[in-house]
Amino acid sequence: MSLGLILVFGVLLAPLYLVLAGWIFGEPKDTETLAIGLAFMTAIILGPIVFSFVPISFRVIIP
Amino acid sequence: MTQMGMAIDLERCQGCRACMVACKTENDTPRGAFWMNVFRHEDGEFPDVEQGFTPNPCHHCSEPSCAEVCPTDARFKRDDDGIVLTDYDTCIGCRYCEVGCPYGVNYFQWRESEEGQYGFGVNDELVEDTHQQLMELDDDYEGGDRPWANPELDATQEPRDNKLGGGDHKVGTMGKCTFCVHRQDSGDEALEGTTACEEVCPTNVIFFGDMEDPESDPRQHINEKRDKNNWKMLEGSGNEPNIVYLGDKPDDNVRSMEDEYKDPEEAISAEENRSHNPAAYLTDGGVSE
Amino acid sequence: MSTFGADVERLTEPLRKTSKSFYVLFGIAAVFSAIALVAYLIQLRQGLAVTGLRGWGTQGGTPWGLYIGTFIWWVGIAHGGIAISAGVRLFGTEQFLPIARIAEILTIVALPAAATNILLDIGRPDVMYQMILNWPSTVQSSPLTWDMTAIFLYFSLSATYLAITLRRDVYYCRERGTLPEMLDPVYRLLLFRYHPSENEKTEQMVWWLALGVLLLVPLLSGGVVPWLFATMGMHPGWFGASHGPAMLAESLTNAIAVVIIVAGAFRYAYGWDDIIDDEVFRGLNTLLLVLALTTLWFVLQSLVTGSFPAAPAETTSLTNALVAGEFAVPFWLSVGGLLVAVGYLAAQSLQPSLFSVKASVAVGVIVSAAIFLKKVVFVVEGLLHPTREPLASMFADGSYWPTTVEVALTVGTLAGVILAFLAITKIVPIVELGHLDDLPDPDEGDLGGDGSTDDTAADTEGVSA
Repeated sequence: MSLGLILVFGVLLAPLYLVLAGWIFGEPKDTETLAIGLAFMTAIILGPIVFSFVPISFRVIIP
Repeated sequence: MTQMGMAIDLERCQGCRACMVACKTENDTPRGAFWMNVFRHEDGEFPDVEQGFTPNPCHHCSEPSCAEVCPTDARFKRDDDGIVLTDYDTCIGCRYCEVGCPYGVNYFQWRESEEGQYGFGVNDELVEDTHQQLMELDDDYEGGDRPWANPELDATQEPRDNKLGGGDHKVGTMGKCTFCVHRQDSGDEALEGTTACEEVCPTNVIFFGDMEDPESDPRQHINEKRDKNNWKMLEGSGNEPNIVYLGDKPDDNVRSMEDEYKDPEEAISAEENRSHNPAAYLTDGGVSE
Repeated sequence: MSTFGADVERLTEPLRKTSKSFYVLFGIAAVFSAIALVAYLIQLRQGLAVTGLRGWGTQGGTPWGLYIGTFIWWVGIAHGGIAISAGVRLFGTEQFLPIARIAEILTIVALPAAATNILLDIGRPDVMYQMILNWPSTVQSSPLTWDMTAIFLYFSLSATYLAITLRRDVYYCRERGTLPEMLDPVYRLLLFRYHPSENEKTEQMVWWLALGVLLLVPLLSGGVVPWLFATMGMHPGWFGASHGPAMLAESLTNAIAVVIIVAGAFRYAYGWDDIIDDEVFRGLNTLLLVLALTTLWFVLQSLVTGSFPAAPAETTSLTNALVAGEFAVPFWLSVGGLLVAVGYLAAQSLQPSLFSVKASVAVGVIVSAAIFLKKVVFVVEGLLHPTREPLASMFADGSYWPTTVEVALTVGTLAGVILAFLAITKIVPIVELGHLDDLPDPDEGDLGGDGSTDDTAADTEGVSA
């Protein structure tokens, strides 16, 4: 149990857990809208991750 | 548990810096990178001035902050002998290891390989000439920008199955003293347990070996000199360095005797402005057209 | 739900009409962005040797400088945006409603700018994906990994917030035909399975997002970003628990200053004096005053603890460098700028006749520049005192000055952000229409606002709200 794991999963991601809890358990319950919201969030999270692979193309210039 | 380290006898060090030259040639480090560095410092006011010389390679700490902060695990500590190494293929060159290390032993490859290698910052007739002759004289050399690199550096090391020894010259990556890991993993008994700096020192300042083994060279020497002052650099840093210094610790008031080392830009421009008469450089009657 | 009165047609005008000054600004920003691109290609080709950065030991330089200082500055700006909007949602500060969306967009463009500045600083961007691949291992120990995680999370929450709140407005505008047709595929993607009945749930979801984002602010600008530096025990200029709160205060100060600048820019550009009215600026000025005072208070802390004779020698020499040594000029410019700002802000709150939007924007510029200087000085000063005795004295003193490439790239990121912002104003409505007084409720189907609920796009043509 390192400092980093406690910090990231215990503290840093707490706002995310809060958001998800609020979305899932809060009124009004609307599964379809919830699903769309989650889909958007997932796509947006994946965006920068995928984007970080783009600079591999810089190899054409880097000596 | 093996932990490679050094005992460095400051009573013997004369600041000749043969170790720095040996490290550079052994490890083929790029311009401006001095994996072994020797401080030349002085202390006091004239006429009561004292000089001191302190070699400062990587301390291969037991709790290396450089490895802690590395965001890609490129900098890591090897389990079997405690050597801290850099995986050049994983390193993104963020320089956080350099920022996190308090010893100042990390070197970033600022420029592309050709400029970064001594003698090749300028691509002119003399350089091409030298290249040509080297290729003729050396069967192993096929051209490229590092004709005098130690071929033993091409070997790969565990645990990354990658070339971890020697300077990589890949622009944008970090490098530092590896305790000559290419020697440790070479399988050659004459080389294992030695480092280039230790080997070349004319006054036996450096003792390299396993700090956990009471019979090792460094431990024995520390024991022989047990009545002398024995200390570690920045011991309170929490890094737990593995280099033990024997002799007086420099005061907090020491001054460096010199400015920062010459920027490679200056060296490159000096090369550009050198005499282009090849005869000026040939001292043994070598042939040049 | 809170509302304000305004003409919908007027608010969505930027989507249909483009002024000459837009083109001029776009052109200028494009030129500087192009220069930056060239500078980056040079940096990629020749290596970071083209910067003024150097190793801190025998090379007598600093390994981090302008890029990293600017990165911290952009992260601060990114907070201001969404924090204003979230504050409106959670605390009902209605006076900021007109700028809520502009503020959200500010966050969305500022975060990639922060990430770009990191990219600029990286020696091997082509291997950067290793940070993702090695995340499970490095998250356990590396503050840089924590930083990347927090920034990705902040971006995700902010972008999701923006996307969800946009859906209602884009639907409404699209039904009325006020959106450019060329971008219809974008709108249809955004409106994936949208139905007006989702608004109740999305209001709730957005409320939680606002809360999550606000909670993340002290964990980002007051957490992982300072922790990159404050955890470095052997750097006398960086180590310590005070930097977290101090950097949070600085970042929020910068954030509000930039929101003032951007709000002023939009008010002037579109002639929206009645929409982005004086109340917006008065409110922001009060916030800025409190934040700037807090920043100055933290400066006071470091000056007092650093100047007192009992301070450790290293701290004393650092404080001297700041106050009277090599950093005196940028340090006092920065503090001076903040003092001037506080002076004006206090004066205009005590004597309302002194208030003017122009002066507020000018003060915003001064504050933002002051904080920028402060951030860069923090990074560089920390690295010019990079270790402790006796080692610190054994190395020669270092120095750092940015090169043309560095400046071009830093200015270029700003230009790029302006470009992106300008482009976005052409794609989505930049005011939250859902809050307008006279906006017919799409649930009731009266999109044309003429009292009939049987509307088609044709019916709504030419009808003014």
